[in-house]
Amino acid sequence: MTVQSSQEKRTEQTYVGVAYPRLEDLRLTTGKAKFLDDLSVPPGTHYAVILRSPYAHAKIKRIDTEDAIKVPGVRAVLTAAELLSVMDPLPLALRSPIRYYPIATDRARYAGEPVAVVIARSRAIAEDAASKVNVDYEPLQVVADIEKALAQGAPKVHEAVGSNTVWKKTFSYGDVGNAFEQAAKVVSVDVRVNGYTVPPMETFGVVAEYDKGSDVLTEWCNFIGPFTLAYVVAKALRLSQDRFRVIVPGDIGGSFGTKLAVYPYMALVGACSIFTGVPVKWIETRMEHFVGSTRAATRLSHLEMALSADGDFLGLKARITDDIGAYPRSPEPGHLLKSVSNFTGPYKISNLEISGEYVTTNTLPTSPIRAFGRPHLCIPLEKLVDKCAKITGNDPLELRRRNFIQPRDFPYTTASGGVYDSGDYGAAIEKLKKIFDLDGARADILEKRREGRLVGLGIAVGIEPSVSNMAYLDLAIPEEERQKATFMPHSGGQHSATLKIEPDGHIVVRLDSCPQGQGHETVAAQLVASVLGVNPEDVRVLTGVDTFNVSWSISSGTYASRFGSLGISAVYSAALDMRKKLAEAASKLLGVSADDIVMENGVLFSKSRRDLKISSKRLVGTVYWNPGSDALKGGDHTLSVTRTFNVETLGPATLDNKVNASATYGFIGTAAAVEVDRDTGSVSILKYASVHDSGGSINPGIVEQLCVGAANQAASHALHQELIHDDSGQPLNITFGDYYVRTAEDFFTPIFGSAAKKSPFTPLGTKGVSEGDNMTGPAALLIAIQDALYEYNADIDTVPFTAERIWSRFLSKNNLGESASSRSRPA
Amino acid sequence: MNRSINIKINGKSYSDVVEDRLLLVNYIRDVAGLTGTHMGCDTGHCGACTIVMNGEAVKSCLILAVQAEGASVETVEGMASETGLHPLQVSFRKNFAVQCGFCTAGILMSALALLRNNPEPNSEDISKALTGNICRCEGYPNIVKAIEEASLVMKAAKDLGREPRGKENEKEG
Repeated sequence: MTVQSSQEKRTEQTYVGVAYPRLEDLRLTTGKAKFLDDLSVPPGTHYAVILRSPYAHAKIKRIDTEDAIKVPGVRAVLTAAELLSVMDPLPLALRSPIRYYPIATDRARYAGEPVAVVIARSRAIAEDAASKVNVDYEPLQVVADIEKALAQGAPKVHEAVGSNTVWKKTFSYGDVGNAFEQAAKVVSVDVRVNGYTVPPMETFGVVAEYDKGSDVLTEWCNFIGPFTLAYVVAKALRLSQDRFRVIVPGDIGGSFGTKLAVYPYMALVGACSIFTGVPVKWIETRMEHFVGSTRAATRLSHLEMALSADGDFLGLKARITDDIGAYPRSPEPGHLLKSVSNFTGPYKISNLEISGEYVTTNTLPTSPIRAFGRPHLCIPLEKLVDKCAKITGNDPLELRRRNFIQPRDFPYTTASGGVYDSGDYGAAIEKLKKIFDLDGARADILEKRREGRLVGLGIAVGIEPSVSNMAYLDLAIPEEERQKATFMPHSGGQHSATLKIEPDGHIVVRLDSCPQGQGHETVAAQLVASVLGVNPEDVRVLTGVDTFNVSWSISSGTYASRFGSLGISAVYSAALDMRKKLAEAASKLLGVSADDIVMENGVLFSKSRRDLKISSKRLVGTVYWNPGSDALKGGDHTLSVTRTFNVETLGPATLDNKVNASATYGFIGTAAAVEVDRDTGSVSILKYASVHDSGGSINPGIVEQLCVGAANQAASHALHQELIHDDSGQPLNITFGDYYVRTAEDFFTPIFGSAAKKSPFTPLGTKGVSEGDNMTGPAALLIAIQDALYEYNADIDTVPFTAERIWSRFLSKNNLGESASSRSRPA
Repeated sequence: MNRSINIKINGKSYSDVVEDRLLLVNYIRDVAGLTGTHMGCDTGHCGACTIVMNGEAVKSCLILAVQAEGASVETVEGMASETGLHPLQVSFRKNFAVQCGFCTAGILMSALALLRNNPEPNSEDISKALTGNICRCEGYPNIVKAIEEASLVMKAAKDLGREPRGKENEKEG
């Protein structure tokens, strides 16, 4: 692990593009990794058990904690009455009179909302005591669905708002009215995406220790960022940033976006430690995760496309209604706003209108789930494009190709302000056809249909953005307010990396990322090893964040596929800087110019005079132990480099609501062949292929494993996953037994292809990757199933398309003996 | 009520007095300090807590510590020997079968029990043996392949009369 490599000569790029076995796996396969619940806790740590509302909507009349507090070992039983003395509401991204606390105050607004916290010497004691807390609830009328929430006279989730609509806005780009007037045809679709989640194996956890001496609250938590939300927590806890330390361990047991929503619990557990003065540990149970963590929004979308006689996409109109649960917590209304930049996907559509309405209901609040809001967008958009092809009599791939942004158009600015970096979508589609064997698959389908089987084929494409430019959330703020001189616009999405060579020559890289299985340590080690001419094993990479010790920013963390573009760029830039520093120091010691220095196999020497050389170990030693030497004195030769990488295009939102929400924009095309079981409506995936444009990958083994997971998750979502509740807002599927999760018995092996077009915005051309299948997967499956059910003229309008839905909507009529002609249109 | 128990974990004897209600997984993690075994649910569905007890794969969240009295337990920490990593561990790394790694210990334990009972499983046998283990990264294709490959490595080593061990710092793919 030194700059002096033990191995033979290595030159730059050796490890770039290599499926190098992951360094993380050495501890993960041997039980030596340390996840949050495995960390040692401070002396005197108490354990928190959260008592949650059993009602979706109820007035909290009285909380009797007397019996609970008497249980030996109980330190405190805390409710809003106590905790509001040390806590303010968590700030929201949208302007609203709603006050969002991590614990119910006078009312519980969803089943699972925290109502009281028992703090005790052990978790078992806390659980015993929690059963003795008596809460007097007065149940109120519940609105658990969008339709009910919007109905006239509906009960209100928040009286202060006056209705259940918390935000409403129309964004217009180009001349949509004209586009629709000129249209030869207008085609529309409706899709409902039900609330769902992608639950990780490891649940949420927080350990909070308030230290009176330093007046610092330290929290160990499996929070993934963005650290804007750590700022939000500090604000709620009335702490200045220098008094709030967040430590995220280097091992996190999956997230898929969910662990962003650890932040309300950082506020809650932090408040408990501040109030009681003892360290407090909380580890979420699986059932708590289902009722109290987070979910994706429920969305109703109505999309309309204006088409020319030739099939050109003239304009797109969208009416979006999102149910975001009981509180519009940050980063909502991101489900919609995050996608505004790339709303038109890979298509050239210059006239666009998006009307968004955000609705609160008595259900679990939402936050980003893998590919934040883009399954919600890609599914209806691709269904619409497929329908346009059918109606105009075009081949769906040809229609897409006709409307694609072309290679010569890049960098391409979308109608809504997105700046796409690079791409060749036509070439990617050709690759997809090849790896999927489209002609073969079509022939196979015809063959199977002749046997009377319900088989079909679907193709969907999409844009895979990487990085989150905070500017998109400013679209939630009224333009008049953004015009004021006092308004502080937001922008940026930078990633940092610190590279240090220690006095003994060991190389250490510190990232500001919180990986949850993405192999950042390996990728960073491959990059640094390539630049500095050592082996990946010679580079120690530290991930996770410690806000007191890491160069972090409000964008820090691991979300929005940001490592592939900006993270890699930050590490690579830091490594290049380090190489330069080493060359400069060597040039002084050897008395030659820095340009003349070459580094190979742990030795720096002069190109022109190869006998002038110094081992990197001696060089590093000299810099540390003899900086006063004649050659080095007066110069800055510290062997520590911090590089923060940002992309220039990540500017603030404009007053006409244009914004570039991401740094790079990859492309994905997915093809799927399916069979629907006539008797049960269940769907089998016969074949699945995706082509990704990741701009090229540093470690293709890691990219592929992530995409294998994404594709399987996509099918889990599309065919099975939804959070179900009854009319009283009671969640019904809150275990891994009731909520569908795939097992080793029903996975499929996707076929992958690469159609990399290097990004001009990143030094190695890389983009983000691995969320794409989560959006195109469900869209391709929907189109394939509609194709399989062509004789029923099936219009699939609800996600997930479960066997039950498919059977009852389409196939059951067949069972009743209706003729094929009379079952042309489902209900 | 408290009871005294004696358990052997990875060949080492543990004697303690524990509460009746203490789950075996909590004993392994909190008392024995072996945190490689994880808890991913509280209903026995996820299998992150799978261990090998008296030769069988068992979910340690579904039994009490006191029920393991006199048992011989194996956890992920006991897989590697002084001579190196277990072929399953090597194969999981080689085949990119680990993402977040939270489910990995439980899956390795199920695979270990499988290969002892059926040293030459086909992919269907492997899938069946893993029904009780959830991987939420959904990396199943790589996991099944890794187990299949490990079984072949173990068989080849056995045929040659060698101990099938990888190096602790296995570098090559």
